[in-house]
Amino acid sequence: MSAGTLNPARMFAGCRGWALDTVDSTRSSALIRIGLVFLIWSRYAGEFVLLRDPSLLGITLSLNFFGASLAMLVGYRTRLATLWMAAVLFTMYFYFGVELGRPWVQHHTYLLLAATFLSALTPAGRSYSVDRYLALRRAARAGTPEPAELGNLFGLRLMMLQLCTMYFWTAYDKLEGVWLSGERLQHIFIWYYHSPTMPEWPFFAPLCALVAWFVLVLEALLACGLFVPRLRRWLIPAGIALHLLFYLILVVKTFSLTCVLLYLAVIPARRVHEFLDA
Amino acid sequence: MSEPVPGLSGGRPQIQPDLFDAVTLRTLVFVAVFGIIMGGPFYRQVLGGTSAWLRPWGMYHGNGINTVIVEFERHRNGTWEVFEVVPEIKARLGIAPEKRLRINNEAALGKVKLLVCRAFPDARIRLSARQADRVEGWRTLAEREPLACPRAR
Repeated sequence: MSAGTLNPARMFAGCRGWALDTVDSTRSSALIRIGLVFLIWSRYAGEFVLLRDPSLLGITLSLNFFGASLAMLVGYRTRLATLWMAAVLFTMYFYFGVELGRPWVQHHTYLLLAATFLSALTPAGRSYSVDRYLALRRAARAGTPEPAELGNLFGLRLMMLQLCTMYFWTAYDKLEGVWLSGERLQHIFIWYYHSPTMPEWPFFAPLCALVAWFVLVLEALLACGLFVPRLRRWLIPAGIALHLLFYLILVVKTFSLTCVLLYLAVIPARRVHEFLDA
Repeated sequence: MSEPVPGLSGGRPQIQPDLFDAVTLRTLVFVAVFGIIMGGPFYRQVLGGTSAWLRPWGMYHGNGINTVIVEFERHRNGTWEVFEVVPEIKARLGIAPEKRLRINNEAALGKVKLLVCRAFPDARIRLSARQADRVEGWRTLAEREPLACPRAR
């Protein structure tokens, strides 16, 4: 078979290998784990100080929140700690948010929950963790070589898929006339910056239409293009810039920074490892 | 691997037994999780499902919806002229300039109408108002409608 011919069996094997069998550096996973804890704390730690809800339920949730997040941060029994943190976020989102009506049902909470759960599927404890320190100590005592910072990255692949899927569906959500005409952006801009009047700038409506199309095209490109290694060098900075712009001009809480953090799952793990060693 | 990288070569590759070492288990977990990642938004955004257990993705999907924009015109010297209502209301009623005046429903619009009535008790004013709507874009609420102020008792 010639080199240019599509071979479905080989493509499937390639995809399968990429998704399930990649073994590489665990430092990206560890950085994401640590970054997630900081984002979770920056968003929710203030809501879990004990004086906020001194009921038994409130204190139990607070202690679980801080216990799980601390163990996840330092990487002690990392996979278990990360699953514990995901369970706390799950309880916050689905029980307290969906069932009891607390305002913990926003998309930034869901993304933190999803990313934390996926982090539990990565070998995030094999770098920058107490688990790593203990393993090094065990190896030194036994006189064996240091364990390598390697692990199966299928959890990291799922994080990348989560990020790209999110772009895909947000682009899909924008495939409506009101977005494409720029009117939805007018709504958002006016709500944040110009309420309750329409700006009288002559370029306002065409600019909104132009930006609306630009955002749609960029999200569609990010949804598909991040899988293409040659496009990543352009799309990763563009995606990060988009989120930082949102962070600057809209009220997005931790959503933008969580997305930026998840870009670590897109960059090849070996590159991240080498960069950190440089 | 092309070149040895410090920390990535030598030694046992694992610190602890990998919970997901079994290829089948890893495949099952991958397929199930990816199914939720992709299927949740499909259920909500394509099939129109409403279960809160599955999440749709729409960045800033609800932001700005229902916001109302207004335009007030004042009758002066025989003609109608548009005037900047917000700064004038704030100046006349002693409202702090940095206070945001947002309208996101008809009740809030009613409050702004009352503020205008208080700020301009003797003026002939008419109002146009449009509301942000996901389907229509800008939905007209009032088109050059005379402002009916409550009479002072």
